[in-house]
Amino acid sequence: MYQYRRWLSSTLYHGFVLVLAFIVIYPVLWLVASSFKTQPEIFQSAHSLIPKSLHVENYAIGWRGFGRHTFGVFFRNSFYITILSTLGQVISSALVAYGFSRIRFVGRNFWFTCMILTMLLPGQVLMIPQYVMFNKLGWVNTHKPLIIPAFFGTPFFVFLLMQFIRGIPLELDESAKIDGCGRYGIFLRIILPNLKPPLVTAAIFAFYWKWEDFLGPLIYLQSTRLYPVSLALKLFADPAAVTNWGGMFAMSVLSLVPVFVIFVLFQDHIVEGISTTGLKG
Amino acid sequence: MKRALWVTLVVVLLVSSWSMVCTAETIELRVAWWGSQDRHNRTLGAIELFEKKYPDIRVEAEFSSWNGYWERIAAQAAGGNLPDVFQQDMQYIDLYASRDLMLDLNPYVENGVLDLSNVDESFIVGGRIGGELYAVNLGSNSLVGVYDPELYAKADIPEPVPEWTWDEYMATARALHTALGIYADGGIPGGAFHGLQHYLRQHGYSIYAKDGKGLGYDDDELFAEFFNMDVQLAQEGVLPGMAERKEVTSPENELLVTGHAATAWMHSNQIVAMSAVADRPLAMRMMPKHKDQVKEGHYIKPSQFFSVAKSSEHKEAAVKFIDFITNDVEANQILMAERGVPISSKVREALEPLLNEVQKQTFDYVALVANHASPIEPPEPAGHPEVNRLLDDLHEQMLFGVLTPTEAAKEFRQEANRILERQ
Amino acid sequence: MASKRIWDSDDVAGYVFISPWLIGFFAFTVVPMLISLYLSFTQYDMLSPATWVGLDNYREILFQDRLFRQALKVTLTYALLSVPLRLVFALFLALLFVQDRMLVGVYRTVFYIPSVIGGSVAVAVMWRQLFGVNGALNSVLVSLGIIEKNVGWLTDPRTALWTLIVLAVWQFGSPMLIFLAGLKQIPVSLYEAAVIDGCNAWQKFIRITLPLLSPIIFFNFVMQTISGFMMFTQAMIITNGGPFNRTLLYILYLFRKGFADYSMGYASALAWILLVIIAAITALIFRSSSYWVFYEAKGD
Repeated sequence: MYQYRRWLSSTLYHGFVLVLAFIVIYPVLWLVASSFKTQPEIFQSAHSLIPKSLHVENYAIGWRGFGRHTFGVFFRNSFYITILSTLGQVISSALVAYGFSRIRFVGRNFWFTCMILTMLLPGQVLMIPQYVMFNKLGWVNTHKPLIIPAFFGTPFFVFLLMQFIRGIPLELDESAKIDGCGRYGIFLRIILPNLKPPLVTAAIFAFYWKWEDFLGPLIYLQSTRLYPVSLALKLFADPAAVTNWGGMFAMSVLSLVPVFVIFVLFQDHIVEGISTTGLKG
Repeated sequence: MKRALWVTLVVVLLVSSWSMVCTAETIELRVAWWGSQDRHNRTLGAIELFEKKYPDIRVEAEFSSWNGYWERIAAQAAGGNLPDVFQQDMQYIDLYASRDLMLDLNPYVENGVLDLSNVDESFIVGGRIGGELYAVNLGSNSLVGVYDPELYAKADIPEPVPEWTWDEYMATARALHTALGIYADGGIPGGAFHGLQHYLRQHGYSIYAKDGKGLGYDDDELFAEFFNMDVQLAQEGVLPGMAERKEVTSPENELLVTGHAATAWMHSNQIVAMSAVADRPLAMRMMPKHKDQVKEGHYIKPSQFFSVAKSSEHKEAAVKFIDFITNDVEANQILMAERGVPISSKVREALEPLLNEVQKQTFDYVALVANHASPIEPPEPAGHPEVNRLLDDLHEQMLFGVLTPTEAAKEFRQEANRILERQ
Repeated sequence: MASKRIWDSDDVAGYVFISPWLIGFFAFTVVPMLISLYLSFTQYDMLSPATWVGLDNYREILFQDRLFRQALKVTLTYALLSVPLRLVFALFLALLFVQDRMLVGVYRTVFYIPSVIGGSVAVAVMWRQLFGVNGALNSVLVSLGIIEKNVGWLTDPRTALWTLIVLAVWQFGSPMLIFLAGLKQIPVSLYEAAVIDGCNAWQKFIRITLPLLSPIIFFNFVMQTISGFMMFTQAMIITNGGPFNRTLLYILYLFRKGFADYSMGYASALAWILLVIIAAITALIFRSSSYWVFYEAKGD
């Protein structure tokens, strides 16, 4: 009887998840299928998830890119910008989050409010003043405006990590203090190890958000040789002209691969128990 | 091993410092444009030729899609960092000229750096504002109805001729719809803005007043007449409803291409894209005439321009580049009229034997329209994007039956004048 | 020794830790923010210097601009519907995928992927294939007999906003991951104790999961609300504000004002009005948090 119930619950679970998975993933499958279709097929037999034949050449044609600049250049730029800025965001945000959530200092609430406020102003109106500023610094048409600010904490991640730090029992800090740890020791030995799941989460987001961002690169980068993939993907389409949809979809799929790989590599760490093994179903 | 590393390092340093000395002598010219992959590759090809011809100029290409191009140009203008040469559009040329950001090219025409001797004035005039030449047309086009002649044969209806009036257009559209059960057109000829502009021009008016501070027509009846045709035909099912029109976002899902309509309206340089995706012979027709017209509604429109930034430090090199794109036959053999029919008669002649069937059609069409055209209006005023959105919005409401054309005419007048006065 | 104590004192250590943000704030954020505040009192077309117009922009926005009112209405509706739906969906899936079952890692990946195709052109094309007049959704619904005639979901004023809401809910990946990480922080011993007390699954969820997850729910709630107000790309590439401005989200309107109409001063005023609105809502959520958010360790 118990065996049967377990089997039933498991079947229901997997059945339900699989049906939902198909609905949720359908558009992604559509994209992948389209990347192997011929130009007319993409539009004429749009509903079909199985291409009539595999047009792998979409990938070769797309990869060629524009003029002398292949997607190899764009991918290299993307990796360079994304990896550096992800590292910068995660490390600096962890430091700031610890300061805001565990230390009571003069002006803490004021600065925290300031930080939240910076998230509330639409970035679109900051674009021009920031462009003028970076232009004066001589940073326009370099990767600097896309990388350097990342090393100064990202409010979203600071706030995220703060919420998780507050979930770490204070007793751990206390016992470390007794062992002779100062603030910095506590941060390194207690907080950071216990913060692995949210840090990994933050890293996954930071990677993906930077990877797909195109407005920043669009404004600050002029030369095609500096473009990241996100921006290069926009170069295919023009509403009034023939768009190389096959090549564009192929490169779109390819641009998802690093994001996918990062997720698959790290997702186990998100749900890795810390001092405990976590929730059982 | 270590030694090899050192040697490499020294060599790299030497080479790079040598090349730095070299670049100090060459001019770096920034050229910006928007477009699709095809245009990027063609333009990059032409640039390579340019660099070969002028070894002292190196071109830094800065290209993007239409979406994003103007945001970047605006940011660059704000930062005083505009590219030396940048592609310009009808709807923004007035704005950028009025802010003194573009170089007057007349002196360069006079001193011969920019050779326009093979260009008819009607192709240049679109880039003139108050006598100054701010931009050079990269290709000409005009409104066109692209249709499938096979369908006319099937319905046993004679193919359109330039002399057709709006009444004949309406009658044929209905007959086509009855015979074939598909839409006659993808929408009213010319679409909301260009269609209305055409209709007003036929009556001697235009959407904008000459000074751009208000509307250029007094009779709301004309507005209502034009859109009444559209609403009527849509109600009868001769033209598609709003939903189907709005879903057309690229040549691939144009109703003509998918076989749901017999005609699609666009600008003539777009037929290349249309034919490529339709994959069957298509023909081109003009906009209908008006039976009482006081002048031709058609005009030759510059598809886009190249302008030189006033802030450019290499003005002469920038003008040389535009001259090269305008006159160099070899470069145009690469560009292949992708931006519209070249303005230089010499280039056109040279390209003639190389054209494929579709390109030949566009060349012939622009030549045909030139015989049925009146001069172009002044560039659209700074408030145009907002007015255009307003018109689109009202057009949607008319097609959806929320507003009658008469009501929409009134609202358009009121709101558009408010927008234009503010500029 | 004394110097070490100074470094370890709350006031100094606090500023040492937040210094990265503080430096960045002054180096990259404050000045552009103040400039945009200044610009909101000017007429500024980006191409020529700004001219001071005092409160004109604010006056026009608040008292004359009917599109401002429309955009605000659309955005509030959008945020009010999409934020709770997305959060509930994300939490529900996180609860499914936190369990120790076969294939659960694969599921997590499969359900996260939709969120990473984000605002690309591909999404716009695809969304039209799904919701267009001749799209996949219509063929399914018609063949099932649920609707009789094809509906233009993206272009019908009654449904257009809903397609954007569905898109928002569909991209539930980031709150889901955060919930997953949060669920894992809950000590398993609490659940074991609850089982001994005879709690069923629902009681465990209400008594343990919800309270202990509340800081994370709070975070997701705040951030999703903010991003709901800031949503823009999808509206631009999929419906472009239409039909009849029924999907004219606030930022889309602001963006058009700034970059299509070259009225950056006006756009800046729109931005600062939005800041005040979101700040008020965020402040309310923060205020309310003392009633429903429980911290393991208070921040002091």
